[in-house]
Amino acid sequence: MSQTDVDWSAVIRDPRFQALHRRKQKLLFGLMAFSVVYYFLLPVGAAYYQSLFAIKVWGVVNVGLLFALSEFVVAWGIAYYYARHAGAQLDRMAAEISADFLGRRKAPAQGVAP
Amino acid sequence: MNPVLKRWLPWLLAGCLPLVCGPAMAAEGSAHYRWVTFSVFGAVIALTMYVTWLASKRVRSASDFYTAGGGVTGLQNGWAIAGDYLSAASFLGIAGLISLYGYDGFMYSVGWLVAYITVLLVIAEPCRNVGRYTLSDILAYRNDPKKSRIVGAISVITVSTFYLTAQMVGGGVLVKTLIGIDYETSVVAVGVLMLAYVLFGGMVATTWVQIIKAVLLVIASLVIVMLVWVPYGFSLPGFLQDVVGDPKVQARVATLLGDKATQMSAAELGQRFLEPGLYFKAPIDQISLGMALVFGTAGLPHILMRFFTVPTAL
Repeated sequence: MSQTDVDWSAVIRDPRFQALHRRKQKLLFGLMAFSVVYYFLLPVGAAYYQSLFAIKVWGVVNVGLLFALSEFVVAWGIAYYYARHAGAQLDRMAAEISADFLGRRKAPAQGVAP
Repeated sequence: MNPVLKRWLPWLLAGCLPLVCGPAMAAEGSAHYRWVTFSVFGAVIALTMYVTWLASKRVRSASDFYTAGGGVTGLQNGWAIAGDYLSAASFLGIAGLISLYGYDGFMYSVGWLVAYITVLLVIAEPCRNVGRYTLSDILAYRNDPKKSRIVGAISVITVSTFYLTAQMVGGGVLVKTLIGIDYETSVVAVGVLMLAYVLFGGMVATTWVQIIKAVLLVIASLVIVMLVWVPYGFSLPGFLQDVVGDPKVQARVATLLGDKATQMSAAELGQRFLEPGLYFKAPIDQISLGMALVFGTAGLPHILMRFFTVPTAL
């Protein structure tokens, strides 16, 4: 079935689609807001709170360095959370809806050989 | 939008050289070991050209050429995106910035990393769902197709001209240093190689070249980190203590600070290297850089193009 044969307004009216859309917006907006706020604490701190960043906590390692390193942990954490959450719930909801409206989904790709 | 932006070559070389002849070159100067450099260079070109040749036999349609027929798996594309990210700027530029400006240089690597999150959350899926071959497809989807394509083309050419100039100069200088050919020749050689990969192999070859590059660079980075860190027993404070105590680092900080450095002790100067503000003197500079890194990197055309190559957004 090609994409033009689908009754898209029926898809939009489907309560399952609306629930999926709401949950996805909430997840994406929440994670994005958190990561932007957490990231911008770093340049703001480096610009206006230099004496705080300069406090030595572990040998010569100071607060600023540890905070910058924590950005890596947080970024990996967000990616992991998103991958798990989207993989476990959102993708399943989307697959159910598209199975009803589009027929069977195409089999996943096997990858390209060079 | 053009995959010509895949300026992989010099950074690939930068990645594998330390593995093979880095220590030797440091001890002896490059001329004596030029044959090693040359064989690594030749081997890498031969390998990637072979991949390109294999790929070119598979390219039969526009979709094959631009998006590898949408047949790249998530894992393959992930490595290829990593290859795109590990460019001149990230692999050599950040190392250079940290050695020159300490903490402020480190800010760059954090910003680029966080840009990945922007890409993951708000760019990747809509991009894949709407785009067909190029970035302009996304703009044309809801706007006047002709006008948005013209605007897209102009902005891509403008950005690429400046972006590519820096990359080509960097590539040319590196190849000149490593192999010892003229600067003009090496710039042209780098350009010809890039065009060959893209024109003959399309997105399939570009994807595989990026995967090869990413794997080599990641391995090279890990080896370098191990070699540098082993003498300190993998202790972070121990390693940084040596950085802070280094007279050359202290002299560099004194130069950067100018008059303010006169009342500071050598230990204070060294410690200053690990604190922000050596490069960005005005506070607003830090914030401006942060915005450019997070939102600018998420819009890199060669990253966005990668999302057209996977079969689903799931």
